[in-house]
Formats: sequence, structure tokens, C-alpha cells
Amino acid sequence: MREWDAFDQELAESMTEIPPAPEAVRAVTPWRMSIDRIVLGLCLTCFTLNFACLQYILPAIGTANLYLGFRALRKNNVWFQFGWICSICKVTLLYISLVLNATPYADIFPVSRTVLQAAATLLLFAALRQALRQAAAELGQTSQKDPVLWALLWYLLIIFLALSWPEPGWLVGGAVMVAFVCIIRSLAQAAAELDAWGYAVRAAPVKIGTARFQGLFYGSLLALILLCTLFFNHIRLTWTAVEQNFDSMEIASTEERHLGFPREMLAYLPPEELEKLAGASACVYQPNDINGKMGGHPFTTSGTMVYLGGGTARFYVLAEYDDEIDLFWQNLAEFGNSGVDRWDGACYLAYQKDGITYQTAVPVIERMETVDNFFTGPTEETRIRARYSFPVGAKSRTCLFVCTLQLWDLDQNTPGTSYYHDSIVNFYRDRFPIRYPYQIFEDGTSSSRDLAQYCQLFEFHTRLH
Amino acid sequence: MTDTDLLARLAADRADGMEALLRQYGPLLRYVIGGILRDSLDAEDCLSEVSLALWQKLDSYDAARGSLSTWLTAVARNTALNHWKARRRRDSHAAEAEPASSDTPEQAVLRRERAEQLKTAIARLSDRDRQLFYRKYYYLQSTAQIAAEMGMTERAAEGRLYRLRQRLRQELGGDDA
Repeated sequence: MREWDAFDQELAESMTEIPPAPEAVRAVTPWRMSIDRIVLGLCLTCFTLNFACLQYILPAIGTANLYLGFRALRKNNVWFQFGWICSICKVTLLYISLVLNATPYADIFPVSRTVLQAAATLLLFAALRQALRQAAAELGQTSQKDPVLWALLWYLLIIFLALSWPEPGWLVGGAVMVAFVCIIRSLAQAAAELDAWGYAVRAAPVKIGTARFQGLFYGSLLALILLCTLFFNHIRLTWTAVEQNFDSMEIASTEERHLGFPREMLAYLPPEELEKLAGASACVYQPNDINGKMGGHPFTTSGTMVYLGGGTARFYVLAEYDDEIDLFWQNLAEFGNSGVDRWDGACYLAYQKDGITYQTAVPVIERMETVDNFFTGPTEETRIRARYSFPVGAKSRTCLFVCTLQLWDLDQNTPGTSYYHDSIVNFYRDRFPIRYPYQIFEDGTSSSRDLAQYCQLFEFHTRLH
Repeated sequence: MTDTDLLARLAADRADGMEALLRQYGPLLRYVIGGILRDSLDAEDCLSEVSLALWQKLDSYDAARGSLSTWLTAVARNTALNHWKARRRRDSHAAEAEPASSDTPEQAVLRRERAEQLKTAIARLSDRDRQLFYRKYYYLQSTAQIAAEMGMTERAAEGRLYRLRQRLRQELGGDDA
């Protein structure tokens, strides 16, 4: 009050006549704000709600509050300090984990992040218990009921239930809810005990205020997640500028052309594909009867199947995207259910920009999957997929998607009959790039994805051997 | 022990009840006194004064007017403030510089009006600003203590207090700094 002027003095003097209301007196403590943060933090981090992104939002709020709570009390005793260090580890782990979730590298941790987070929460429960006990003991106080120990035991029960029943039913879910309510009750009791002796607790000074810390923490986290989401939802490919030389290609593939291989598709075949067609004996070309739309814009497809002998064929589907279709985010080409063996997939992309043609080969993903077939039931089948993005400003974009099919088994072939092969190829486009956690484009189940299909029937005669 | 138990104990045996009261509310009294008197010896002296004051004034406590902790806070705060003023007078040998504050009836009325104005102004503050105000002008805590307990940096607390003070000055029509 030494530096106070008359106005300050007057305010202080006036307060003698108008003392604060009981609730205002109750709010002025050195511990309430910090302990409330710790209680809130422990409550929000000891359970998971897997909907509406709450599995990310609630732990983020809880962990930040744990850090802020322990930070303010860290100078009281060694256990509060230990809790503060644990909360730093927890907040760092959560931060890295939430950012990594927005990238394809979410699984690089050698130990499960859930296990680490649960271990950190257990340590925080233990640290809080010891810290409160030590602080109370210094004042000659003892806790009769030890509520934080009970909270810790209830948390252990939640962990046990979560490990024993990873997909809980109503009964286990109810037990978890009861345990959670008991944790809240125990922690509230622990906070209430401080009403008696908590005034001896001292709050530590801080270099970054609570509001600024929260702003920096949540702001940077959100910004990084958004940036990573956008960055990783565009697939970077190495494009090579090529000089289109249809004449040389025409010479090299005279044999294919004679079989009826369409000239427009031939232009996109790299030399290694042409080599695979050596010895081809038949070729069927099928433009898609119904040209689909993608994002309201025309989308054209055509397919060619080249018989290679031995019941196998090389199947080419060319997708030509309209220039108006936005293909900057993840796109997916996928061979649909076929009921035949497939292998040796390939995907070739091309686009034009400023009069130059760019091409690249996209790595394909081939994986055995169980496909639920309406007629035959679940069957194992090789799924072939390719994911790609085009750069900004790309025009005349095409995707040539290829695989080899085992059309029929020669041993079971009946001469004189025809063989029909029904082929479906799905082309997906991601409309909404912000998807959290990061998901590779593996199926078309998301509602924010556009689908255009190539669907045609190919006919071969079994006299082909 | 609840306040009711404590009061019953005080009614039954004053000395025993007083001991229990000081054991239960000692940390609160120390906290209030410590915010005003930074010197630990002064604070200990003051705690003794407060204990004496409580012993003398305990009969005047009316549970209907507020909780025991609110009353104890007021007693500790006012005793510590008086202690601080007395200490300041002694230190500066300026008993004559600070005239005895015996208000005329007009001054008393004016002061009451002003207090009412202040009460209205405080009621209009946000919860956080109200807590800041009470900490500064009722508990007379240092900016460092306020900042630490409210999770702010000292600089932020100073800035917020400055804005609060300006606002009150505007509303109450105080002198311009």
C-alpha cells in the first residue's frame, strides 16, 4: 500500500464496511484454482468417449489442466513437483500423439500411446495423493478417508475393465460409469478436505500465464493438426516431363494395334507395359456405355482387355478426368470384386501443364482381403488399389489402371464356349481434405467421397489358349 | 469438524473451543494476515492479536449473517490492517502527519454513499475481475501473490489491475491519476 494513491486507499478503506460475500471469500484461496484444474484434468483423462472427436478434445483439455494445476503447486513439496514433471510428460506425449494422428506416422511409437497415457494418469493420481498427504502432514493434519487413494483404485478398475472387455456391453459400460462417478466423488472429497488446511499451500509464480498457455497450446495444436492434415492429404508424386511421340510408340506397338488396341490408350503405355503384351493373341476394347460424373463434371472411362494366353489377360482401364474436377486431395483407383485371381497391378498417371506432358507411375497396394459376396458368401480375393493426387493447374489428367487377370483355368475349359468377364473399377475422389485422424484412401465408405465407376462385360471365346 | 460443532464446542468450553477453532482455521487466518503483513514476525504478532480479538468478539458472531470463515476473514483482515497502519506510524514517526480519522456526520454520510456506489460497481464486475479486486483491496495481497494464485504473470496481473482501477475510477468519479 506504500505506492498507493488516495483512490487506492479509499477503495481499501471502503472494503472494511462492505466485506465480500461468503462465496467471494471462498473463492480467494491459494489452492482452489489449481486443485480444481487437477481434479478436472484427472476426470477428463481417465475415460474415453469415442464420438464427436471427444476422444481427442477431452484428453487435450484435461491434460492441459493437469499441467496448469501441478505447475502452480510445484513448489510446495517434492510430490507436487513429481506430478508437475509427469504432467509435462503427459502433455508432451498427448501433443505429439494428436499431431501424429494427422499424419501417416501415427504408429511409429514403440509402445502403445494409450498405455503410456494410462501409466502417466496413474502416476498423477499417485503423485497427487502423496503430495496432499505430505502437505497435510506438515500441518499436523491427516486424511481419515484417503479419497485420492480410492480414486486411484477406481481408475485401476476402469483400466482392468477396458483391458478385459475392449468392446464393452451395457453391463461393463455401466460398471465403467459407476467407477467414473466414484472417481469424481473421491476427487471432490479430496478438494473439500483442503478447505480446512489448504490455505497453507503456496502457489508458484509462472512465466507464461494460464490464458496465454492455453491459447498457445490449443492454437498451435489445432494449427499443426490442420497443416498436417492438409499436407498429408495431398499425395506427392515424382512427375517426369515427357515428349509425347506417338509415331515411335506406334512403330513399337504395331502388333498391339493390329489386335485392336485403341490408339488413345496406347499413348499412355510405358515401354515395360508394351513388353508385357508381347505374344498377345486377342484384344477387346470396351468404352464405358454410361459416362459417369464426378463432382458434377464429366468423367470418361474406357477399358481394354488383352488376352495373353494360358487363360490370363492384361486389363487396362483409362480414366479421363474433366479439367473442372478438383483432384488435389487423395484419389483412389480400385478394382472391384471379380471372383478371379488378380496380380501385377500398375497405375500410370499423366497430365499436361503449359503444353508439357508429365507422367508418373504410382505404387499400387495389393492385399488379400475377405470379400463378402452376395452369391458365394465370404471369399478371399486380392484387392489392388492405387492412391494419387494431381498438382494444382494440371490439365488433361488421366489415370491408366492395370492388372493381370486369371480369366479361366485351362484345365476346366470347355472348347467351343464363350467366356464372359464382368469388370468393375471404382474411381474415388476425396471432396473434403480435413479428415482426422489421418486415413489413407482405402475404401469408398466416407460420405465426403465422390465415386465414378467403370463397369463393362468382356467376352472371350474359349478357343483362345 | 463442522462450524456448528465448533460453535457448540466454544459454547461448552471457551478455551477448548478456541483451541479447536485456531487449529481448524489457523491456516486461513495466517493466509489473510500474511497477505497484508509480509514480515513473518509482524504476522505472528498479528495472529496473537487476532486470537485475542476472536476471544473477545466471539459472542458478536451471528451465523445468520454469514459463514464463520467469512467472519474470521473479516476479523483477521481488519486486525492485520490496523496492525500495518500502527506499524507504519511507528516507522515513520508520523503520528501527527496522519490526522485522527474522526468523520463529521456529513463525511460519514458521504462515505456510506460512496461505499454503496462501490458495492454496485463491484457487483457489475466479472467473476475474475471481482476476485482480482477483492485480492487487491480487501486482502491487500501483493501483485506477485495475486498473479501466482490466479495463474497469471505479474505483468499481466498489473495490467489487469490497472484497467480495473481505471474502470472503477471512471464509475466512481475518482481523481484522475
